[in-house]
Amino acid sequence: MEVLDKLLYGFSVALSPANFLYCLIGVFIGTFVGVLPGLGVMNAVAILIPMTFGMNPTAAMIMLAGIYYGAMYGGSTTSILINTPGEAPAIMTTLDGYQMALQGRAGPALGIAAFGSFIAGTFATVMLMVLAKPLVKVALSFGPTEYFSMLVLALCTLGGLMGESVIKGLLMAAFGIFLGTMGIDPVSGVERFTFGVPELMDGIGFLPVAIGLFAITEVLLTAEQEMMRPVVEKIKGLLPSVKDWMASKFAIARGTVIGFLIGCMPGGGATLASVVSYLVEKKFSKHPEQFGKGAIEGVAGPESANNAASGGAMVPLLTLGIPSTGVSAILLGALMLYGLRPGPLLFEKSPELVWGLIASLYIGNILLLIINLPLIGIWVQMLKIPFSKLLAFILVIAITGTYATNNSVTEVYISVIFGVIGYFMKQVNLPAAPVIMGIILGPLLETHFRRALIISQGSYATFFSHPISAVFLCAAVVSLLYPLIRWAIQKRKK
Amino acid sequence: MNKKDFYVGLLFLLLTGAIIVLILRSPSTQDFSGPGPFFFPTVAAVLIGGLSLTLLVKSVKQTEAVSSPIQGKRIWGRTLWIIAWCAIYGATIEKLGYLLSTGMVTFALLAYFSRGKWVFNIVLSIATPILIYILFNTLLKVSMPKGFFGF
Repeated sequence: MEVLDKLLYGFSVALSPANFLYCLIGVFIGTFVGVLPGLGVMNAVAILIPMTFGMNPTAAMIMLAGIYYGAMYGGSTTSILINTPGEAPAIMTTLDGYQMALQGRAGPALGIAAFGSFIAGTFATVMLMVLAKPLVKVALSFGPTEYFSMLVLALCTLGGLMGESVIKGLLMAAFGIFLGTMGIDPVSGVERFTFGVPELMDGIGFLPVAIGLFAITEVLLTAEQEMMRPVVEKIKGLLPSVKDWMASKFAIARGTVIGFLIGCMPGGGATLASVVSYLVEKKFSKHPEQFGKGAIEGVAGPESANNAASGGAMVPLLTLGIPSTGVSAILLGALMLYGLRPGPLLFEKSPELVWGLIASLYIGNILLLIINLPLIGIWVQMLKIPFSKLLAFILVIAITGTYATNNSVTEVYISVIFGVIGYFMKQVNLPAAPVIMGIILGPLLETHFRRALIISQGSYATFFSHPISAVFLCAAVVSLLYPLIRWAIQKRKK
Repeated sequence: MNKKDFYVGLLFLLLTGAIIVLILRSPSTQDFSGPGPFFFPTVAAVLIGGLSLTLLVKSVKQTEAVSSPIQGKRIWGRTLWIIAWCAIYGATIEKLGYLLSTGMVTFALLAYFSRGKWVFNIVLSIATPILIYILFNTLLKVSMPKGFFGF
């Protein structure tokens, strides 16, 4: 009953005219971002954070979260219609969605993707409510020792799983941690790597780096290629038939559960969720040979999974203050910029934000269903906007946002420098998300580490004498050794 | 050998060296029970060094070719044009003011990427800064720079 009371309170917050409008704007921008190939959700969230500074944090988080799951919805449209995923998690949808479109069944493919996403998104929100209380209770018992170890685990798993190579992911996370140490040390007041630049006294903010690494890099990469726009067909009959529903119902159910569980895990993310869901569906199917040739289960499962994963990512973010994906890392950074401390105390100190956000997830899912199906024609028209027209607008918005954060030209230069660094990182397949993770989690890691040592009077054994901390650290070691273990097992099998 | 990974490893090894030199040159401030202010940067440097060395060694053993993320023909001029105008934007935003510098940068980018459509480019170069200015300055109450001309 207590949860229901809080949810009702959340609805009263989320349904206020201003918050409802921001939710609508968020899901609309999210769908737009998802529909346009080349403009990722991380770019959009990073660019739009400065615009939320004048807003109250609840409205800002409602809008940013709307962009996040809106992009998951929108990503399927381009996968189905032009065989190009608008977002990485929609990549599996291209396999069968585009085949369905070639067979004249683009409508049912878009319809089942939208309904599956709605069901999965709603389930993930219910699970977030159910799991929030017990997780918060556990997290409240954590001290700096446990927090430090949990952050180590998060960085090891996230850094290792983002990108093609574990070493490169971890290298980028370590680079991010180093960047996070720049500025005045909060304990001793000593300057670290500021090179006498006054603007660096407060350290390098995550936002100029994120805007540089994601938005400016993306513009640079897209600009150097000739963009070809495919011809988009007309779409008829968006509602899936009874036969389509019967074929998709278990795929949606499985995709939802798989997506939610993977979304909760550090390093899981929506892309992994949709890949696993597709493979599971193919394995469970009586006609696996149909996959890749227009099987509706191949659309329903992954689309449900990627939406459930974005809902699942909210669980560790809100309850523990730990991001499980790159986007949730940026959302975590946004919460910190608003002066809030993400984690279990957020439920006690900012119930308006937490429950308003949870209620907005329900509302956002309904809004997405409405704006994705009847308005599909508008999204199809948006596919025709040449990127060359958007490029100048995206760049100007990105740089304005960087400047507006602290009215600092230095931060504009930092963004541009990281835009160039990000461009070269892409050329050598270095992932950018772990750098942001390192910058955001690094200072937290250092603070908890030093607090734990002060409490234990300098004894490093404290990290192993606390059972929960020891478990987290062991899990971190296992996650680092996992590729080695897998390699050894594969070698033995051969 | 995987040349790209080799050079990445080498670059980050050099970065590790630079960080360690900076740490060694910093004043020692071990004046409380816990680790000092340069303990964590040292840990980060050791991690970067260890991982870049691993990458370096691995790259020497690798033989397969690594594909570029960019498909097709590269147009370097575009990249350089964008970077140059980003730098000019940073240099002029406070001196010329938000509206003028943003209009100038928008026009420079549109003129390059959307050639020939002069009317469209000029209209968009005027509308874009005004719209963003209204959004930030009026709606979001974020003050934007005014520059020499007072706007």
